[in-house]
Amino acid sequence: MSQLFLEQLLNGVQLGMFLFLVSAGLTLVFGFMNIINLAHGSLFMIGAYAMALIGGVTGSFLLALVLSLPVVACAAWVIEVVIIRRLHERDHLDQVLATFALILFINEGTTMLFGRVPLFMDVPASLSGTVTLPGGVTYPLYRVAIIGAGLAVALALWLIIARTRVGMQIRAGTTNRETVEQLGVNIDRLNTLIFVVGAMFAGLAGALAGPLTSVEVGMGENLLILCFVCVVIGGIGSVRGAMLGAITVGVVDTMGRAFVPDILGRFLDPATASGISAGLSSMSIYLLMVVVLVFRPTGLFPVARSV
Amino acid sequence: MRDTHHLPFLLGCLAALLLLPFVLQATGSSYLISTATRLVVFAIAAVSLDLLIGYTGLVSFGHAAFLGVGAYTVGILSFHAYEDTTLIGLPGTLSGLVAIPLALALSALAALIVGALSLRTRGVYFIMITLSFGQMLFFLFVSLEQYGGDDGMMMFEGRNRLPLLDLNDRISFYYFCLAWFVLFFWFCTWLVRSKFGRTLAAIKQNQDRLSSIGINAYWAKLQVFVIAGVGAGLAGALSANHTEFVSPALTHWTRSGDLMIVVILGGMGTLVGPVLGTFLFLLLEEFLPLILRGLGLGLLSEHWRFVFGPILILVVLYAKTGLYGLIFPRRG
Amino acid sequence: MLEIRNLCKSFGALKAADDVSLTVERGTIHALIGPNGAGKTTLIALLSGYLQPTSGAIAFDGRDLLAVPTHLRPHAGLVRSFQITSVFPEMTVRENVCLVLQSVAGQARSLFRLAAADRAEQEEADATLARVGLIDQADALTGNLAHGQKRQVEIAMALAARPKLLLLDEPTAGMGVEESRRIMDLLESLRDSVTMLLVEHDMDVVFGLADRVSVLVYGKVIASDTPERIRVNADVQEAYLGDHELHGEGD
Repeated sequence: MSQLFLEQLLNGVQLGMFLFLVSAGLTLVFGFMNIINLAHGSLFMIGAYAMALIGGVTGSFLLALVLSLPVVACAAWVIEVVIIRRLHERDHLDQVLATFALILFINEGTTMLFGRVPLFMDVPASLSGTVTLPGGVTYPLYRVAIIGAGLAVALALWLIIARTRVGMQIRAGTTNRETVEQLGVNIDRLNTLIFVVGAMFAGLAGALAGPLTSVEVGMGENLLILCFVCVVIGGIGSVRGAMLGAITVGVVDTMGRAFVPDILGRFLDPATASGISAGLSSMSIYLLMVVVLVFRPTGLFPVARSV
Repeated sequence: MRDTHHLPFLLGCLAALLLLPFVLQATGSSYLISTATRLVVFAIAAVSLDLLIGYTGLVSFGHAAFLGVGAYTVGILSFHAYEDTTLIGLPGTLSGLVAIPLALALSALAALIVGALSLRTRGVYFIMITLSFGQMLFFLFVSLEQYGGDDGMMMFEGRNRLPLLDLNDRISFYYFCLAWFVLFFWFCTWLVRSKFGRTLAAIKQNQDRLSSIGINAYWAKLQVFVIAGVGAGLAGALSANHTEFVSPALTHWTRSGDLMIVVILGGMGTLVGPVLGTFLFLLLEEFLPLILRGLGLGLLSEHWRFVFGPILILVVLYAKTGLYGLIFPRRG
Repeated sequence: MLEIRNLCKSFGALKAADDVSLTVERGTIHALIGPNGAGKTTLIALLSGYLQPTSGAIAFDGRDLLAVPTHLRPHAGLVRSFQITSVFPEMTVRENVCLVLQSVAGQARSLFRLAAADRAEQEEADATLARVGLIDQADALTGNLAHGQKRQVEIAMALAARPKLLLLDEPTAGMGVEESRRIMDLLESLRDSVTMLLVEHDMDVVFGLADRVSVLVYGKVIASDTPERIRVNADVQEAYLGDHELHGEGD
């Protein structure tokens, strides 16, 4: 039981890392640019497709990973310049609708180019083994690598935001946009930078997810809604909150799926239990978010705003 | 407050909707009656959403959930009538006199609970919490394996039964839905012009000011949220009857997105707008593929959303008054 | 009319209201002055219910005001106008006032009545607009009015609530001499019908209107007296010394 528990806990953390990579960009764009970008999940999908396609052609995992990031960055840059930039002064409704329309466009375009058949790719040979953790649990190396990559990004992001000049501008802009503008910072360039970097995190997550799931149209949206939950639970604009929200959601979701059927099975007949528990575990994270928002209407780490 | 009298226009539309089945039959295109029924049913949902988005400034991203509550009420009652089983001791029924009122009551209850909790938040958080409630209901319906789970269920007994009216006749059913639509539309016309409607407009314009003049904004928002929920529940109940099928897809978040699109396409903050928007949406869905094929863009016809997406972005960015604004340019 | 006793409000270490006691007599215009950051805005927020005090009591018209929820305080007779103009911009001037009348009349009874059908309400709104000199703008969209006129709408809305006590938060803020003069005349004309607590920076307005003046410095009331005596009060002089005589600039 305890080994299974540890394994599932790690799976939860690993899912949390994916969620964090996507949420980080989402929360920065939310917090700094005050824009809801529903199409952020599409960037995750673009990363996954780029990875699968380049990987298929070159046969090299590393090369595919290195090359898929610029692909995502270019896509993000185009999206920012053509659409997102025009949404700054608009209300949230316009942002939701325009980026929703963007999803329709990107999904349909991807279907046209690559069809409806999912793409699959393998875990690279160098990362396909398992590691033995203290306590005797064996765990796939690739998943360990993902957790490592997530932590590395988190650390880098924290250093950038806490220690650099750009980071200071981002923090200041999240709290009070006007001040930053008055300080003579080129806000358009900073916006584009944040958007593209955030997109690259999402693209990285997509690229890394390739070997674990099927690469298909619509893969971004399901993840996106989970990421909204992470961001909202954590408090919009807070990277620290996004990390906490992502780990929480990842663990709650994974643990729910793993253990709720067992627990319910003790009280109900197996068929009923499995039906209900599938629903319950999917619902649990949304329930979590509702509970958080009812008691903390602006999330756990609200960013003080003086607009 | 925007003026909503366009009486000649409204009467013209009503006459057109009343005569539509005859016209369609006369021109040998009676298969389109089903599309016309979808139009009036989804127009009810779109108008109800506009009460929130356009009139009160509440961007609800989970409105499809109430479609689901209405539809599943009708579906589940029909299921138990077919199986001759009970649910928590109560038998199923095919009677429209029971099923439809119950669908409305349950969607009101659902909206009351969702609204009471969601309306504590504002702005982005409100969008996200309503989205979450929508997802919760979606997964709830997915988990109801007795009722088909992911795939949904057919209503093997057909549509609800009513005295004097055979809903399985498609023309009678069209008029049945049209009657509900007219009733709901008339109710909303009156609502937005009432003092309550004036309160809603005030919430949209300057919510914080309301409590200082002694009006409880939360309570007014909750009321309109429940009214809108009932509207969507009605559309759901009618939709279940129309297709004789219910499935979680009805409550998918993209369905909530579609409803918002319809409202914005038609022109939000007006009652005619969402109806026009529904019309346009169904028209595009039915005919954009044909038009694209006609233009020699055969590849795109299957993927009409590839064209629809950019059109929508342009509407959001440059034509916020929607179709309504095109037809009735604003004076002044 | 209004009696504030030992009111305290702290934000962390900062005491925005430090043992404030203040009495506003019925039928007077009572002005509240003080240098920037003295806690005037906090006091208004405490009175209107946007903030809850750390300790102390407020009695209003014989009732415990702190027990009355924010949105019911206007119904109790305590009505405020805002420092930052805060109207409903896409409604006509008349509709703005009607909204207040609707609230005063109680919502439940006639809520679902057509707004345009209530003649009595509209006549009352017009009467109120006539009192503040805005009747010829009744059908204009409020958002299109000049700044000074919006303030007049604010005052009309406050009056429509039939206040026993009117809280006026810098009614002449951001106005030119001419507009300012008009608002003063308006308030002067209302003197006999309503008690006012006036928070104001412009000393011409304060000394032109007030029957009594209280001076708030660092959250404490340092003096409360007639305008003539306040002018020569040594403590007040000292408090304002760094602040250029008795002339503040605005928050």
